[in-house]
Amino acid sequence: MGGEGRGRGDDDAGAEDQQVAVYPRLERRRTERLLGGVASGLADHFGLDPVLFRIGFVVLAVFGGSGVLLYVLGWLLLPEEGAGESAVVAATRDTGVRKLAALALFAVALLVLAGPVWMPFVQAGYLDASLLWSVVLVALGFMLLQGDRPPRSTAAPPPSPPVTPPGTGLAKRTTTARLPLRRTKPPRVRRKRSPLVWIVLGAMLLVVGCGALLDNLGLVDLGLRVLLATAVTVLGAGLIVGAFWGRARWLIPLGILLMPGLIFASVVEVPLRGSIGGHYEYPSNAAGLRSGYRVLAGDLQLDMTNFDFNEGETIIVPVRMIVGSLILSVPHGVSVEVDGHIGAGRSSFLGRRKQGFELNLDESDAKDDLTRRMILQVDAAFGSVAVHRYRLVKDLRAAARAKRREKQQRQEERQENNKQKQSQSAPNRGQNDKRGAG
Amino acid sequence: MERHRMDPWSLAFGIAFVAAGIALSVIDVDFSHLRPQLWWPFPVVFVGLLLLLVALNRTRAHDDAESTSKAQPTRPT
Repeated sequence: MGGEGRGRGDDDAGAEDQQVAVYPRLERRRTERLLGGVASGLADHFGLDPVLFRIGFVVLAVFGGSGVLLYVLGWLLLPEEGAGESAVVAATRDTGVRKLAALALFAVALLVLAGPVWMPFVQAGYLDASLLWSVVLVALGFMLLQGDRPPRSTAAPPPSPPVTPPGTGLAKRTTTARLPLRRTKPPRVRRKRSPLVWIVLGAMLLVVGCGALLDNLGLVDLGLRVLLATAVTVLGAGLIVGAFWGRARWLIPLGILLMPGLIFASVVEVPLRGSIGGHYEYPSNAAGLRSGYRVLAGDLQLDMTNFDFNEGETIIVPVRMIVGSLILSVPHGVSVEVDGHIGAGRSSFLGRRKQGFELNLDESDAKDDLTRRMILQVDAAFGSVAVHRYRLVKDLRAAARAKRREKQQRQEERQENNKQKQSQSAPNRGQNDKRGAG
Repeated sequence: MERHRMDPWSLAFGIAFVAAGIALSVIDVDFSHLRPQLWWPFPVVFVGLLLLLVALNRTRAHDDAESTSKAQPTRPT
């Protein structure tokens, strides 16, 4: 019947009431604790979340360091779960030390509290940390003195037999011995941790690590974009599995963190290999020239002024750069071309300058009389590319020598001409003199 | 790992991550050429998918609760 059903429900409620313990004793928790179990013990006692006390201890420890002191005091003064008495009480049991310590603490606390009275130089509105400390000291003294009492039992009192008059369950409700209403801590239901997060993370790292290894060995050319995309794909697959089996919600923030990196790597083709820092390359022949240059971050100065170009030869130098600057120095007598693009930055090609975003480099100074060519293929994300033409010192000296020689030759020719003129003018002058005398 | 009720958040984000990962690893998307009018549908689609999954999950939970209550035997009066 309905009455029977209700009576059974009341039985359950009564059993639940009887299972409700009194205030959990203030003691340090032995299990599920991080350090000494002080915060969790306080949380059990007050029916709050241990995280709140932990945060409080950390905040107090950071701002002034009192959190550490309070925690140590709590560890010393709070008994461990099931121990019955604290470490201090156990150490001073059956001695007068504890009472003396308590009295000393009281005295100190009273002195601090009475500070505004007996310290005339302290302002009347004296209220700062010392007041808090005094209160803490009083509380500690109280706790020490309470150690004389036998520890309270945490067990629930034996249930009084319910007097159940035959009839309705309502009567039973009124006659059931009522326990005092006390705060109850809901039983902590810990969900079994799913290994899926770790499985997915392990698989993701395995895949990404193997891919990076193969890329670094030169067996495949993946780049950061493909690796990050693979990581995000594995992570997403793990989340789809976790939507039905196991739990893997922790992977969502990780995926959100990876997405900006993936988008960046899609915008900028980031190689996994490349130099970092400043590098100066000074190749003198084709053997000293690499098949391609990669710069992750830094500067690359490629000095080709000493390169031994053969007649009719074309040298192609590909350069991939993420962030940095590239300076190419080419000698005279070699035509140079630049082909490629810069995501954002500037370029300077033999004095012609550009800057901005998405710069397309298509520069050339090819001349018909120059058969030696150099082509620079640039793919840069951020930075600058500069091409200069330099004359070697030995060439400069040779040119100077040639110039001096020319000048000398011209002077010699001039002197020769002068001499010839003088020699031609000398006989004419003699004839004129004779005429004048006649 | 135990089977549990479908988690719409995990499923929505999982589908989004898999789609983005495959798309960006296979297709060489040039984001600099993607204009805003091509961008905005993606979050709309994602939010729609999420809402759909949450609604489906709630509907299924409601149906399960109803079927459980119907399946409970009633005491003969």
